[in-house]
Amino acid sequence: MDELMLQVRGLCVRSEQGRVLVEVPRLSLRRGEALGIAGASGAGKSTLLFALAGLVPGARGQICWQGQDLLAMPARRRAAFRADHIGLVFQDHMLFEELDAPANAAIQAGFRPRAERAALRAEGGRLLAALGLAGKGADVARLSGGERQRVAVARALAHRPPVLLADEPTASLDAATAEALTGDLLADTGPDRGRARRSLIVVSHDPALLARMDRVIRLDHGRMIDPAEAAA
Amino acid sequence: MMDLWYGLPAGAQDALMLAALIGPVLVLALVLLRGFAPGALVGAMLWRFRWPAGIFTLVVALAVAVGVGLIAQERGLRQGTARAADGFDIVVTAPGSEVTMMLAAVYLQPTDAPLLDGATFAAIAQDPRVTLAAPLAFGDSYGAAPLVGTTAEFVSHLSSGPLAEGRMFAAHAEAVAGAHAALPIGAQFTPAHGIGAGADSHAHAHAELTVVGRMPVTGTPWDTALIVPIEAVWEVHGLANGHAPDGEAEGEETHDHEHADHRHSQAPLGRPFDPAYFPGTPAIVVKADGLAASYALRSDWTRDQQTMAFFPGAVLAQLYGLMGNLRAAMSLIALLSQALVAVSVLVGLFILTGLFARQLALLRALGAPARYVLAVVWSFCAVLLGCGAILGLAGGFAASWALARILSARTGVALPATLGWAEVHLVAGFALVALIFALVPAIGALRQPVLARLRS
Ligand SMILES: Nc1ncnc2c1ncn2[C@@H]1O[C@H](COP(=O)(O)OP(=O)(O)O)[C@@H](O)[C@H]1O
Ligand SMILES: [Mg+2]
Repeated sequence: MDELMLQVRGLCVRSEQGRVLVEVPRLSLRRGEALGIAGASGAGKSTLLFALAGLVPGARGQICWQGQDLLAMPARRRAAFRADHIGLVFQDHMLFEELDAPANAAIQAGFRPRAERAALRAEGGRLLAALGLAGKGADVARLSGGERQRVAVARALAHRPPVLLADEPTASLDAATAEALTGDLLADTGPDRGRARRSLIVVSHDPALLARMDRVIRLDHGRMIDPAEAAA
Repeated sequence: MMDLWYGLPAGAQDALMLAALIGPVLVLALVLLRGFAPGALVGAMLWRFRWPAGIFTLVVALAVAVGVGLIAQERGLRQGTARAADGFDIVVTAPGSEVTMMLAAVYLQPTDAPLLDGATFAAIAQDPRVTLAAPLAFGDSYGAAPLVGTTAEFVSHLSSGPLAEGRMFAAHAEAVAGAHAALPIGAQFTPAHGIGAGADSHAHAHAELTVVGRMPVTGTPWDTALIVPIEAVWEVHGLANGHAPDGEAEGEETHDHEHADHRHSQAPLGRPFDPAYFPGTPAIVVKADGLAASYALRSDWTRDQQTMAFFPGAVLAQLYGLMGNLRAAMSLIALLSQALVAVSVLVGLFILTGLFARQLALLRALGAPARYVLAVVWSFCAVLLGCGAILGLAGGFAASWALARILSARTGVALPATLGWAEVHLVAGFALVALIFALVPAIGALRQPVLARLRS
């Protein structure tokens, strides 16, 4: 049995008005596993994903990453945990337009200890090259949508997090570019690889992407349609 | 503790004061930035938002420059006017307003003053404690230059040395020009009666004077004047010339007569004057032999209904005291306007940080510590405020320098334009307050909901 990466218990997110946005009694994920989250627009997919990253203020319950409950942590430790353990990719790239691609990829160098900065920059550069962006992106605003999203992936992975969370990463891409990006997201995941593997959670309604996931959960009005999908 | 402070030399006090103002900024910077490297991000954000940031910096610089300029200008005026009065130890006039008579004698502001007679002048001039006594005569002009009548002795005293060019007047029809007066050596002119627009240029049509020398710069309004023997002023007004007609002269002749071609060249020039032929003088400048003698002379020649003696320096000090009260009232207004500037700075910082609210939310989503976000916002603001403060200091100094030049040219009072500790302290104090203020939008940015910012 592979180790448990994530274990969610009794997660409930309410809006300020008290409306239930997401209610997930149980959900778990193993190391190296790729999980898809599907559902109609407004079903609560993004809310669930950001709650898993500790970014949703109204979340209640337990979100245990490798045994550590994110929701029980003070804000400062939660941020540090994100910086160390989680990679985030957003639907609309969310690049720092004022920085070039390498600086975007190594954004954590600004607040990481001095000793880690060089390695972070090197890994960011390696990822950009691996994603086919070597020598590109002096001005990230001039890159295509697919290239910008790959810069975002490099930024999410440069600090080598054990888990990558992506919110509709292919929504603005054509089919061929989307397929290539899906491959990039899935790199280093899988059941038995020689080195430390990465878990992946992707929100999407792209059937081609969802088909390549190990498992897919579907949300409707914040609730999982088939609770059997909850366990790994 | 206080004794220790007051025991320090002024320069050390000023430097310590500056350190006390800059120190907290450095501590704040150290606390915020320690272990972080926000430079690349802050630099890129500054470049991306260079227009709004540049305009904000200019507004800050303008506000700082006004404060710096006012302080520098006020001090320059005080020093310049005081220095202009240096050559005028004691002034004796008919009783009246000391300020009016000081303005007339030192700053050559036209006034109608009652005259002192020859006996009074003789008594002062013969006092053993007096080392210099010079009668002054004003009221005429040539173009923009006031005409002043006095003695060669006083011209030398005011020049504190030899003339800059040419020679001293040695005859009634000769004149010495002030350093900045428009007439060159050799120029001839006919003085007009009165000063300014009302001057009557035909009243003295029979009198023609020649410039024979030029005084060095004295830093007083006398630099713009034309100085003639007082005898010449008396004569153009059809009065006796201070000396008995030929053959009746008492006392020794002190001047040689190398310019025999001039109309009045045979008449003596300068002291001693014959009281019987002395038409009167509105003001006598006196220099005494030592400080004690000065005070004794001032009290001796302050006589009811007859004469008034005063130190122009002391009158100026009184005026500054008065202006000091005015300054206190002004500084209250200044404080209010500073508060307005502070509020504008705060609003400006909020608007600027609002420009990159999305980047800040993104940083926090990616797990940046709150202190790093504070450091980014604060550094951004600190660069703008620091540039604004330094630009303001330079701009304020430049403005006060330019203004001093213009005022000097207009009044002849040499106004020094220097950068003093007061301005440096003002700017450092401003920077301290503004950089603490800069924490407010930085903390405000931290209170923004991360997700809402990312989704909007
Ligand atoms: N901060 C919030 N306050 C109230 N309602 C919210 C908030 N954020 C999202 N919602 C609502 O929650 C629901 C789920 O949103 P979201 O998670 O973005 O859906 P999806 O990503 O599946 O399209 C939507 O109805 C949305 O309007
Ligand atoms: Mg969504």
